[in-house]
Order: sequence, then C-alpha cells, then structure tokens
Amino acid sequence: MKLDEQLTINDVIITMRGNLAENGYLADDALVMALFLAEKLEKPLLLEGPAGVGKTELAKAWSRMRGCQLVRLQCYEGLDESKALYEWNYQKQLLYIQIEALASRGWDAGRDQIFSPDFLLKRPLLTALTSEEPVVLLIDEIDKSDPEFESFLLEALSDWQVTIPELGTIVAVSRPHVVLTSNSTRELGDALRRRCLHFYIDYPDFQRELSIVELHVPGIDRRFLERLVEFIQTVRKQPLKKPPSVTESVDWVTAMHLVADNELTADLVRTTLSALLKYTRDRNLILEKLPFLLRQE
Amino acid sequence: MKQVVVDFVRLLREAGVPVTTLEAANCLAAFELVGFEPAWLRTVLQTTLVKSAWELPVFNSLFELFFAFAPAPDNEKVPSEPMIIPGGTADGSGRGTAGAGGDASGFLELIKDQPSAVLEDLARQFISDVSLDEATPKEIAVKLRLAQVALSWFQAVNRIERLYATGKMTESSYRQWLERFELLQQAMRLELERNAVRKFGRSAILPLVSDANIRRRQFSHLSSDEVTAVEQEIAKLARKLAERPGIRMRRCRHGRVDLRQTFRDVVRTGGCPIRLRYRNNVKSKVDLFLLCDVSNSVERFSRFMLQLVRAAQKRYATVRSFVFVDQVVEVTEWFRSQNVNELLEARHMRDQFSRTGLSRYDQAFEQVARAELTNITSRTKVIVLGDARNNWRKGDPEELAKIAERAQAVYWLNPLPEEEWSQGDCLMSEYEPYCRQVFECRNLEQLTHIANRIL
Repeated sequence: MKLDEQLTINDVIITMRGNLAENGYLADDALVMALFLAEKLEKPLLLEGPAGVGKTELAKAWSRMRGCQLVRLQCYEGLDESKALYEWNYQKQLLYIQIEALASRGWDAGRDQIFSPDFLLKRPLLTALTSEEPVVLLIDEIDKSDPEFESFLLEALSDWQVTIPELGTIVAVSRPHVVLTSNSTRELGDALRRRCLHFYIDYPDFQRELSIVELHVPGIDRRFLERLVEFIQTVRKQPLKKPPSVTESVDWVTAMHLVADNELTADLVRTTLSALLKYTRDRNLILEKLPFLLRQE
Repeated sequence: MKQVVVDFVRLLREAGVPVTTLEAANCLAAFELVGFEPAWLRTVLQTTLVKSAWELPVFNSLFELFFAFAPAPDNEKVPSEPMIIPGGTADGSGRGTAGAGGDASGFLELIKDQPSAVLEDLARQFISDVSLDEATPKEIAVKLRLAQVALSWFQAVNRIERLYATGKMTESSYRQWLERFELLQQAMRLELERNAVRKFGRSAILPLVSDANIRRRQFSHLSSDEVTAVEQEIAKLARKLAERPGIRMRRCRHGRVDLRQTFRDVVRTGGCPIRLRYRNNVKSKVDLFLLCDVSNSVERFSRFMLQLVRAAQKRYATVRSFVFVDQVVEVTEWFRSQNVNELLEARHMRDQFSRTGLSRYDQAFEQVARAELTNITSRTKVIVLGDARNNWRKGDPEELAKIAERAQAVYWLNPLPEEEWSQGDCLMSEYEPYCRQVFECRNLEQLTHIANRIL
C-alpha cells in the first residue's frame, strides 16, 4: 500500500482534488484526504452534515472520477433485505416450473434449478458486491433506515460478503468504494460508525461557496456574485429553522441572475426569496431584517 | 510514531470518546500510507478516530494541547517590535496607561482587519504575563476574563454592537467583527490552556479536554451553541426511548409461545394442545408525572428534561408536566402546541408559577398532594427535578410522603453534585427516604444513563 516514491502525499492530494474539480465537485483538502484514505484503506466513508451540502454529489463525482458505475441504495423507513440485497424472481420461477411440467419431466428435474442465480433479482448491495469492475456504492440517508437494517449492513461492509441461505456466502469479486450519507436525524449505532471513516461536511465558507456557485452559474458578473454570496452567508448566520443549503443558494443565484440587472435590491430579494428559504417563518424573519442585511457601507 | 498515536488514543478515550482498537489500527495504517506529515496530522487523526459530531470539539481540544508540545515554546523569542496596546495591560491588573479599563478604540484598532495568524500572535502577547495557579477549566475562565477586562474587551464589543444597532455598520462587517472577537477569544483560551499544560505537565491535559465534551459538561456551563447541540442529542435519546420495548410480557397474537397459557387451555381440550398461546414484550405504558423546579438555579436542566419527556411522549399512557418555583402550574396542555423554551420565556406564565422567584418545595408538594393525589395511582411514576434547596424554609416531607405512598415510584433527579446535598439549604436528606431512587444528574452522560434506567 505504499505510494509511488516520486510522488509526495501533497502531490497525490492535489491531483485528486483537481480530478474531482474536473468532475464538478470542489472539495477542500481535508475531504480529499478522507476520500484518499477511504480508497486506500478500503473503508466505507460516512459523510454527515446538514442537508444539501453535497454529500450525495461527492459520491457521484467520485464514481465519475474513477470511471466506474454508481450503485445507489436510497434508504427509507422499512427498507429490508429483499429491497437492498436480493429477491427471488417468483414469476420467473413459476413459469419455469410450468414449462418443466409441460415437458413432463416432473419436479425432480426442475428442483435444483429454481434456486440458481438465473432466478435471482439483484438489488443494489448484491449488484455492488458481484460486479466485476469496482463500483461506487452510495448508501444514501442511512439514518432514515431502521436500526435492524444497520446491523444487517455490518456483514456486508466489514467483511465484504453477504449470505444467501439457498446459495451460500457470496464474497465480493472486487471491493466497492462505499459512501454512506446521514443527516443525523437518528443516532447511528456505534458498531457501524466505528467501521467507517467519518467526515463532517459543513456549509462552505465564502470563498468556496463563491467558486461552487460560479461553477454552476457561469457568465454571471463577478462583483454581483460576490454580493449575492455575501448575502447568503449572512442569511445563514441568522437563527433560521433551516439555513439555505448549497443547492438552494445555487438556485437563488440562478434566479437572481435571470431577473436582476446586477443590482441587489430589497424588492428583488422579496420576490426571489422563496428559492432560498423554504419556511414561511424563516422568510418573514429575513424580510423583517432585510433593510439591515442589505445595508452597505 | 506508534507511541504517539497510542498515547493520543488513550487520552481520547479517557476524555469520553470511545475509540476501538480497530480504529487505532486504521489510524496507524493511514499514517503508514501518508507518512507522519505535520500538515496532514489533524486530518488523518480526525477521519480515522472521530466518528460523530459531538466528539469533534473534544478531539480538537486534545489535538491542540497534545501536539503543542512538539515545537518548544518560544519564550525567548521577543517580537522584534513589541506592540503597544493603548489603554490596557496584559497582566490582568487592569492598570493600563490610560487608566483602568480605559480605551476600547485602541484595542479595536489593533485587531481591525487582521488575518487569523496575526490574531493568534496577538492572543499570545495578550496573555504572555498571565500566571495560572492551577490547571482547571474554572481557573482558565477566570484568568481569561481578567485578561479581557484589561484589554477593555467588553467595552469594545459593546461599541461594535452599538454601531450596528444604530445603523452605522453593515450586517456583514458586524458579523466579521463578531467572528474576529470569537477567534481571538478562542486563541487566548487555547494559549492559556497551553500555558497550563506547560506549567503543570501532561496530567493537566485531561481535565481541560474533558471540559470540551458536551456530554460531560455541566448543563449550567453550556454556551448557547452547545445548548442546541445538547437539544439535538436529547431528541435522539427520546426517539430511542420511545422505540424501546419494555421488559414485561403480555399476551399477544404472535411472538413467543406462552407455555403456561397453552397448557392451561389444554385442560379444556382434553389434553390436546389445539391452540397455541403467544406472548411478547410490550412497551410498558405508565403514567408519568413530571414535577420540575424552574427557578434560575436549575432552569436549564429542567428544560432539557421537559424536552426529553415531551419528545418521548409516545412511550407513556399519559404524561402530565408541572412546573413550579413557588406555585405549581400544570403545563401539559401548553406542551401540545408550544415548545419548552417558549413556555419558560413567556412573561405571563412566569408570573403564575413564580411569585417570589425563590423555590418552595414544601408548597409545591403540598399543592400537588392536595389537587392531584387521586390521580396518582400505582401505575404512576413521579419524577421530581430540582436541587431541593428550599431557601431556608421548612421542608415538610410529609407531603411528599403522601405522594410516594400512592405512586408506583418517586424518582428525584438532582443537578447538584452529590457532596453538596447536605450543605446549606439543600434538604435532600429529608426528602430522600420517600424516593425510590435519587440521582445526581448534571450532564448529558448522566441524563442518558438515568433515562435508560427509569424512563
């Protein structure tokens, strides 16, 4: 697991950051380092942070960067093995049995066949484990799933294998890169936490948000953009129920770019604010403070 | 390198962050990969050892103190041009050239538009002469405050706030100022902590680092950001409690086979077990009476507890919450629509439960016993929250005895440290015989433990 002798760790990280940027994701060095470690140590990477700071986006960028397939498992309450791992294709099994019966070869001939990989419906986890090429497996919003599902993941994520009673244990052909994301609505179990590398993604600072928004809204006047991002940064520091996420700030800047003539006025903010803030209470709070927020020296 | 990592992990564990052996091994593997580069030290340790958001402040604090050792403290190196701070001295005496606590504008001028590196340097100068008597978080807080007073810090903050409030400063530059103050304060605190560690040795690290752990920090010592963090943790705890099955078994349509019931039925069917009976764990549904002292001394703790119980409502058949200072007011209805903080800040409510502002446990128990005694049954758990300090009045534990006699159990959660329970006006020893259990509950770690035991 040694690095190339010529390359220092800094070069590796800078290259990797550049590659990520080419694929549309601007990351800071610490995050790139976490990604690098996850890749080399073959550990799942657990990303936490507020909604809309680009946790899911990172997994997508990672898969694009490595040129491999992205397998996504969206978690929700009640998600179970049959949705996450595999299911037997009952219809196909039934058809097969009927055809066998028509051929009057009887049950014995078909019995060994119906629980074979032919009749297996692969769900995301199994797809990721049995893929010949390494894939990026994104387990999105793991905190939405039940605690039982979390325990079920342990076998898959620590030993890279799953057990199917009829077929036996399936060991990963190539180890997938795993990203788990969580908005921490529920405390994840220690067992799962401790098996992952952890990174907390926070809202970006001014400079980073500026470059992110610039990437998504090209052709906007630089000074106007700075003013907008500054406004967003200030809004985020107010006592809001839900501070604007990066996605929302991109939306808002796009909206402002469409309607405003490089001028940030109270009226324009009033009409476009619903793109930035999604709660009436938050909007009212900002509108109330608007004269203060827009004041310039 | 190995020794350093192992030492670091050991201290992290002692400060309350659970780190497994596997994680320590991962950390070493990561270092083998990356090399022991100072620039990457923090990131590598953090991604491999820290696994939740609340662990981060503990980690940061330990990291700063632990690795401050590597470069020797440059006490000898005198800055080439010593900066003169008008109006303040750094020795904590407050006798500056411009008189005690004099001029804030000099200080403001000094830190205006400075990058963080310069601010850190300034922080080092500001507290270079401060001497610490012991290495405790308290001592550091006191010395930090003294140093700030000497710098006319608070006047400076006040001036900025006034400029902002009167419209002479924009929102963004106001925020920048606040950030600058925050940064400088943190740098000064860190420098003080480093001094403490330098002076009193490595054994001083642990108490300072433990202070960064919000699970072990006293409720009354939390800053407003930390209160939000604790509130989030409490919401998670409540969710866990609400989902947890009880330990009692009850007849059920599916579950484990209940042999006793099945065999009892066998008699009817002449020895043949025709129908199986099942039983399963049921969520224990009890009535909960929550009696919270909300006088100043324990208010914050009561808030957390009320929030916890409100969020875990599903778990109980009925929850009735009462708050009191010297009068008991039922707030059950209020909680259905409002949150705890709004209740306690509502002026008209406060007047109802606080006539004098001094807590009166004897009155509170008397009122509850008089009005609610018939509603307290053998399925009722009564939880009292308070410090049992009756402001030098008689305790009247007979009233509590009446309640305890009818209830399933009375639990008392006391935010005072156990050794103070028999000191001053604290009447814990009078009330204790009527409680099934009395817990010391001063931080999140203890609250979690208690909630798992009794709720």
